[in-house]
Amino acid sequence: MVRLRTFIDPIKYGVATGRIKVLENKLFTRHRVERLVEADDFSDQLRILAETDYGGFFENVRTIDDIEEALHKYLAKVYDFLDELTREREIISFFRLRYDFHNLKVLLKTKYKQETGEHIWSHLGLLDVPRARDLIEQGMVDELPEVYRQAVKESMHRFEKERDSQQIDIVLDGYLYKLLHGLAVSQRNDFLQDLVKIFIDLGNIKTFLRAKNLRRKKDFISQALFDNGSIDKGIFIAIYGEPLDSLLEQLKNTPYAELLRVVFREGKKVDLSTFDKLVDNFALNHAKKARYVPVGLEPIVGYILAKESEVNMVRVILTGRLNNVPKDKIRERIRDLYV
Amino acid sequence: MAIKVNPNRMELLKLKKRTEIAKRGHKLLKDKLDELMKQFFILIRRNRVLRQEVEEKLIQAYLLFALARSEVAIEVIEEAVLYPHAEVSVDVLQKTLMGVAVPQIGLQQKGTFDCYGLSTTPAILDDALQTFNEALPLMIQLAEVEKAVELLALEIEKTRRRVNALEHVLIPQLEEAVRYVTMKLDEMERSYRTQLMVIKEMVSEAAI
Amino acid sequence: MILGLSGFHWALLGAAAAALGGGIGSSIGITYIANVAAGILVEDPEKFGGLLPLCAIPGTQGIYGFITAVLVVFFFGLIGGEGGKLTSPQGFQIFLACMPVCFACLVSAIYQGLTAVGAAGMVAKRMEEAGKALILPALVETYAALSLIISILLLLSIRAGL
Repeated sequence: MVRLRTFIDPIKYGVATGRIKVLENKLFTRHRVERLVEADDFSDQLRILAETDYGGFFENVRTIDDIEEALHKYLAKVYDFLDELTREREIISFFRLRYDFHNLKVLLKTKYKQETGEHIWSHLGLLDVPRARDLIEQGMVDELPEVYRQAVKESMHRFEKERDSQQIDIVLDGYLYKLLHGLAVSQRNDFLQDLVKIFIDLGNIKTFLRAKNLRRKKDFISQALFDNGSIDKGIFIAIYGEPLDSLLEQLKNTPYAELLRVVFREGKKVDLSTFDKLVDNFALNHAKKARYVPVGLEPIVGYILAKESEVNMVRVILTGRLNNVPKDKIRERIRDLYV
Repeated sequence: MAIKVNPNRMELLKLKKRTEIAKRGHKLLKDKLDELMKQFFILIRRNRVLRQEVEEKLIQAYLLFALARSEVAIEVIEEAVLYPHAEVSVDVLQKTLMGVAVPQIGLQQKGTFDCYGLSTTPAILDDALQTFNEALPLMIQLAEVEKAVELLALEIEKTRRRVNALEHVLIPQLEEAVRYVTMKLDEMERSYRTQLMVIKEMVSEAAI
Repeated sequence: MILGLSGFHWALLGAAAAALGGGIGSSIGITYIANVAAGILVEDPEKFGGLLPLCAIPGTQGIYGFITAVLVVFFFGLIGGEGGKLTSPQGFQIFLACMPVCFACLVSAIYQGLTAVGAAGMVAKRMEEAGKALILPALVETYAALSLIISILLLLSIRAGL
């Protein structure tokens, strides 16, 4: 089938794709990552980073807090670059909404706990945080931008009913993924829709396994699971009481079977120590498909995801070193690379 | 001489009694000291084991936490633990160990430590907090044992001082006093006898 | 009269269609690849040498269309006034002879543009691949060239039959 998009995308995303194709070459290679891990000390690591475009951000970095700040600024640059590439608000939101919801969580929790949380605000979102704080503090939730309004209302309602701060996270996470799903659907882009489905599925699997490890009750997980995944959340709820193997049995014909097999490998207790890595690798491996798309939205989304993963990797390696984490523990947690 | 006494029989009896009591007290205190030392060593050993356990747990917990915090931006971790819903309270009671009042610390925990969204935070955060959670009761126990060791050590010192005082000061002094009184009494008796003999001689001389 | 058009009109329509098809196709194809090339050049201006042939290659279809149109004009004397003598069926034959170039060039130029975009990705990755990268969209060129040959052969045979 000939799709209209084939003929529109090169015009819409041509320049952006061209830039990305060059920039993909500048992503970290396995070799550079290995050098960063093997570096003798922190200043050596900084020297290696200075060869890359991280260099400018890491000039006066000494402590872990400095690393966080530098990476925050670097990510801000990545997202500014995204703004430059596309004027489409949906795509920009797709990446930045996460930070808005982080800020909303902070605002709600600090409101109820009567604390200030300015030091943990993220500046990567689209929401005007100081204004949102004033509105939330004064209870004028209706003045909030429409995207967030319902989410904030429901999480406030839920918190006031149950007096449990975890409910704030659960409700807001649920809304975030619902919005991401909506954005992907509105783009009518298979790659993006699959990506969100994968995020949702992985989120659900993660919630399921962690809740199981923490021995939470069944009604906890029926609240915490996301809708719109490729695996219906009803399946998770139905087998929650059963032994863990039944999850593998249920998902054996899905792409997640391999991932679960790694986790279940040893004995009964699920070892989630490297689960975060497996989850990220799974999502990134899906994103890698974007590299074979000659032109369009996919390479842009793929590149930004790769960049986010790269920033995380730099954080793992650098803070790990400063915290004296053994090298093999660091290496254990290094993600696959996009290129 | 430290103890001033009138050298008479009454005093001698009293002194002898006191010496007797002091010696008995000394023996009792010495037994107590031995027992205290025994308890002390048991506690010290327990303390060492506990401390090692706590240190290992904490090292493990900090390593896991270092890994968890490196997975995501620090704001995310801080937000996750911003509003914990687990409550921990500590109450301190007293119990007596060898007549020493030592604290007994009770730990009450309500709710679970996971107060964050499970899908958006790293899974290893659970492990880190779980390990901290396991370390907490151990730390409380350690605090209890450590305080007991400290109090016991004080008690041992006090008891040893008493034993020493009895052994090296009071008992020798009392014995000295007894000796002195006995000597004095003997002397008095001798002089009395001499007097008698002199008088007897004078009387017999007068009779002749 | 076919569809009420004279031979001259049909010949004109054929020439115009050939130029139009090739021109539209080429301009779209070049836009595609030029867009991407511009993006690549923003980040890495040294790739210009490798990208220029890729940008030029969808332009050939426009030239084919142009050649066909010019051949029609000269073979059948559309300028000199001789064209007026063409009968309606003759003019229709000329029109049909122009169709291969018109459609093949329209479609192949657009797709060549798309292929060139893919090839530009290769160049962006490794400059040394520029030669290989050029071959791939050049394969699409074959069919535009074949259509040009057919159109010319057809025009020649029509002219011989006049």
